[in-house]
Amino acid sequence: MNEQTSAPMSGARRELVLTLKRLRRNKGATLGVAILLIVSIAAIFSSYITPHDPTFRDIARRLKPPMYQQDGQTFLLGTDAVGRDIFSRIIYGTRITLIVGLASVFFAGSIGVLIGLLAGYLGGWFDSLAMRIADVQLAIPFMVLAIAVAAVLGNSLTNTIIVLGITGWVTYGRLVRSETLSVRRNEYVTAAEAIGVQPARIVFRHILPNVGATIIVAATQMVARMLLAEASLSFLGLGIPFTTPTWGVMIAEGRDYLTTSWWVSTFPGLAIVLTVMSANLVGDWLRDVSDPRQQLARLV
Amino acid sequence: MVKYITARLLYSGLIVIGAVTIVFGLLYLTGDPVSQLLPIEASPQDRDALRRELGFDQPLHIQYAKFLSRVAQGDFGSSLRYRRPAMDLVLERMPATIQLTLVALVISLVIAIPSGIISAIRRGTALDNISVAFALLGQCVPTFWLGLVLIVIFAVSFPLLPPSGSGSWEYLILPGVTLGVNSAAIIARLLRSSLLEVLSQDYVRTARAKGLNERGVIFHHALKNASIPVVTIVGLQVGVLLGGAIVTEYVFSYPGLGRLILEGISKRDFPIVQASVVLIASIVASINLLVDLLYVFLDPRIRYE
Repeated sequence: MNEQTSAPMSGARRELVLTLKRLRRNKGATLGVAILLIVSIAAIFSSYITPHDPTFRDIARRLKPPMYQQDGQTFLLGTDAVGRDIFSRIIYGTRITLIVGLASVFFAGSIGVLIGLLAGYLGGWFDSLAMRIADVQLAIPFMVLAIAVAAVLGNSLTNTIIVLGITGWVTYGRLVRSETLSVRRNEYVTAAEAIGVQPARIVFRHILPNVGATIIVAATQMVARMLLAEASLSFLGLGIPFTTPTWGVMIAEGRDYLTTSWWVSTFPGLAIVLTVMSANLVGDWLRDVSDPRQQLARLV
Repeated sequence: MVKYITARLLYSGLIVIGAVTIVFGLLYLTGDPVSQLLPIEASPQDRDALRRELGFDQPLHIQYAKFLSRVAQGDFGSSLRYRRPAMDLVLERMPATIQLTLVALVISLVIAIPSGIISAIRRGTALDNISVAFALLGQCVPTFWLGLVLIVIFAVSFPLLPPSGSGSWEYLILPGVTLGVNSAAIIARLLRSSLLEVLSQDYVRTARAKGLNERGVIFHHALKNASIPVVTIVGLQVGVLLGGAIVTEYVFSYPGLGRLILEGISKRDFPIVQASVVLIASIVASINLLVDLLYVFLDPRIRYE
């Protein structure tokens, strides 16, 4: 540690150091954070760190096994059916994975948080309507609805995010609503109402920050779910178009070569498992350490 | 109780109407419903003809009312590809999907219940750690990828089971395991934590104090009380399994509803997609109703008035 950090710490920084200390005590979550960091770095710098061009085709080196060597170059995880380097494509796939994971959670979260806040605060017909829509949506399995919406919208990166957002808001909506119901009974909300604060200001200045911790914990767990859903949609040809290297697409491409070249589908799948597991580990840890109404709210 | 069941039945009916409304709305998501129902190469004349035939030139509320009344009679229109009523096709494929879903559910319970119980009563041991690790892994594995890996191992490297198709019971094992693993992980985790909570209750201590053996404590006192949240999640998992079946059927070329939906999508046969979504929503709504009623038998304290 340098001298600067030994100076009196501000509240936010103290919280951060405290959280990092807590994180170190949980091996699973530490591993999760480490893997997510690696994935993020790979996504940001993918064009600099890929050993080969992820889209360069060379039929002469098609379906070569892991550790294949050609002209002094090593293909760490082998090549696919048109001779593209699988390792480079997995690194490139981190971009789409992160974009879809974060954007769809943000999209689903924005709809869900807004509806949940309003339903919980306003009550009445809006609450009834929103929760009935949520019930209907819950009766249609997530994958079924996502597939139906994807079929109508067509496949593209933006549409995949929209599909996951439309189908995923319910979890947030119900969670934020129930949190809002308990927060709005607090005295500071009553006080704000008594001095005539506008409802919109009460909702966004007084209630939203106090349900923030719950939202963050739910978002982390949601990332894992969205990543799996995106991979499934892409695998079925309903998500990201086949021209873009994503992990789901790569697994689909390897499906025809299962019997001869297991590596084409296996490695992208492992990448999904590792990333989803990391998001789950971090999500579980956040849930455990957050006494939602107390500690984490201050970090928001 | 009768009053409650009636109210609950009515509500389930409302949910199904809601699902019908959603599939009606889906057609309008891109603006022109006719574009969903005809192949891309259809001529403008064809489009106009279909628009008039199905009443898409009428005001929206009239279209909706007509759609509702048709659906109430089980009429989702004809499949453009098979030239047969869409609901008939869906009902033909449904038994295969329900069979797969049930096999997956049984497999997931057979894995989850023992491992959840052992995990809870042997808390902190190596056995618990292994079970918890497998549960975490099971939640993170993409279904379609697990299916492919299982095909490589059990159908290609060691040809013990058929890789795809349907027929005898052997054809159900790999898809069943593939589909069931995720639910097994979720149920095992929940059963473990639920059982741990119940085991710390006073009545369990009383049961032990009066000299009841451990088996009696677990099976007579703890398990039934720990099962309420588990029953809820098992009910919810049926819906998840039905959704997952679509992907699993695709991986294993299993001729069920999922394959029909995906074919319907690729061939722009939208009535099939609509009929399937409504049927699945009806099944899920019925299961939720059954689960609610099951609580009464599990916990006599719950009384619906």
